[in-house]
Amino acid sequence: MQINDSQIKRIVKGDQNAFRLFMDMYSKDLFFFAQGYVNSRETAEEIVSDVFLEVWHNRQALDQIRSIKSWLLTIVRNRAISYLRKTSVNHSVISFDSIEDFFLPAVVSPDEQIISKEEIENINRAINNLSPKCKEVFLLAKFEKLPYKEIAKMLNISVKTIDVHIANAIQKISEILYK
Amino acid sequence: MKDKRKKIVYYWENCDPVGNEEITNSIRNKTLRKIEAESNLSPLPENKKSQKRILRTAIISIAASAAILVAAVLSFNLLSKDTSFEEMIVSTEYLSTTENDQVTLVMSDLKTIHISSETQIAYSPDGSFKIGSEKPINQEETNFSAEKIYNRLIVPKGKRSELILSDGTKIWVNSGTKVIFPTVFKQDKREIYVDGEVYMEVAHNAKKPFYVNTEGFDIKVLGTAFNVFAYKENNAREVALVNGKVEITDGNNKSIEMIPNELVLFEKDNIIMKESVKAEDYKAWVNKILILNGEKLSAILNRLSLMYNTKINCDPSLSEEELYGKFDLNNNIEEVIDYLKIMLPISSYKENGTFYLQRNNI
Repeated sequence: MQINDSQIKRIVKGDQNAFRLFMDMYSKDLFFFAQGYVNSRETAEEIVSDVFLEVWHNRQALDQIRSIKSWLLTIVRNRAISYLRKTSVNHSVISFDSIEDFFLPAVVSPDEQIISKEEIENINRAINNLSPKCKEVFLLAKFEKLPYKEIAKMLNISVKTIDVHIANAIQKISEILYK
Repeated sequence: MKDKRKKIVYYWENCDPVGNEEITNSIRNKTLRKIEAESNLSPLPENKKSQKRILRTAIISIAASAAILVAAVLSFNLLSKDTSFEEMIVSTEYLSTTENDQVTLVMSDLKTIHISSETQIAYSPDGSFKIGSEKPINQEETNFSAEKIYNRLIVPKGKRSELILSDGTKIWVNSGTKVIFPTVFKQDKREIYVDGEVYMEVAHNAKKPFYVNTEGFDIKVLGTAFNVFAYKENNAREVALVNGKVEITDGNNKSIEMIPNELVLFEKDNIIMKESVKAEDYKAWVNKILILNGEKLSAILNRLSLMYNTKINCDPSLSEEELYGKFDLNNNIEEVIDYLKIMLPISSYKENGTFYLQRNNI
């Protein structure tokens, strides 16, 4: 789902209805990303709503953003990581390049004829055992459908590295599905 | 091998986390509350004023009423001040009337008070208020001026309320209605927002015109009594003037003046016609009577389901039937439906809390 230019223009002008649609369009995606870092529904919602508030403040620049989704995800990430820093017992351990863990949301299979409930549960478990970085990349690529280039920029890693992470995850998944 | 690939592709393309509506709603509401809290606490920086969407109603009421008198500077001030009012309207949509079944007063800090049905809420000129015969309640001390404090009265289906504003204006609030009003009015005008049905007796004050904003139109009042029927979810809207004089401006900036015993009908935000009526009949609900002057059954059932908070379905072939008579709203809904059965050749049954009306077979 992509937001169109006329909606953006309405938000720039301060139209709250358009802004509500904007929030509804992105909130779930941003929520799952935030939750990946903070592992708390309450905190993730709070972070996402703070990000939206910031967007509302800066709405006049909204039509100059090239990729809204990457931009939003980047702000969510920054906020989530600074939240972790603030609340962590041993400060400054958490850097933008190395998070301690990342929590992926459980996935469901819409058609259990193709992928059974058991298979999808096994996949969820296997994916969650991957390294935090791999999971972060996986979420952005699979669930957020972000192009590798955008992910590379956001996480400050190379496209090649992303390839490796994704291949690694696919490997785990195919092991389960191939049984 | 091919099968395996198919499965992986299926996983990649179709298997997603289940996001529930609840999360979306919760995030949206949180954000709107933050926006609202801010717009109450700090006036907008100068340079942002012109960028804000201007309250349509404010432009209209100025254009309609006092274009000659109001200097450009003044109108600019009015417009920028009204932004928080509009944001309040937007966020009130989320304070759903179905969330709880009690009459609720929401104060500017989003604290809520539940009030029993048909109890009067009366504001004093200083912005404090009394519920029934209880002792007055002061709004919390805040660092912004009293005229920027808006309260909201939310009356769910099946309930009613009465409100006296700080200027003495009296409002009877019917079921399924939201009213947004400042605890103290501004120097130059009085302004409230209504989604639903109210009967109002506006305290006379020629120096401070009274504006009633609704989804489809705005009413400018000088001291008068009238009934407003303007539910957002219902495109058929109306204003009946009992006495005094009002000027209405619709969504297309078309203005119309009303004299007593006139009824103006709207379709959404367009004035469609004006007719002579016995306006008292339109406010009879205040005295718990519903007077029918040839209204269509579908419209009547719509009103009854709001007032009694119950669902009523009717056979489509009945919906155009016109009814004349009176309902005593002190009766319960079963009694009202029995009365309908005398008026029309129908039978009824109830299933899962919904009433169904059917045409009798001959």
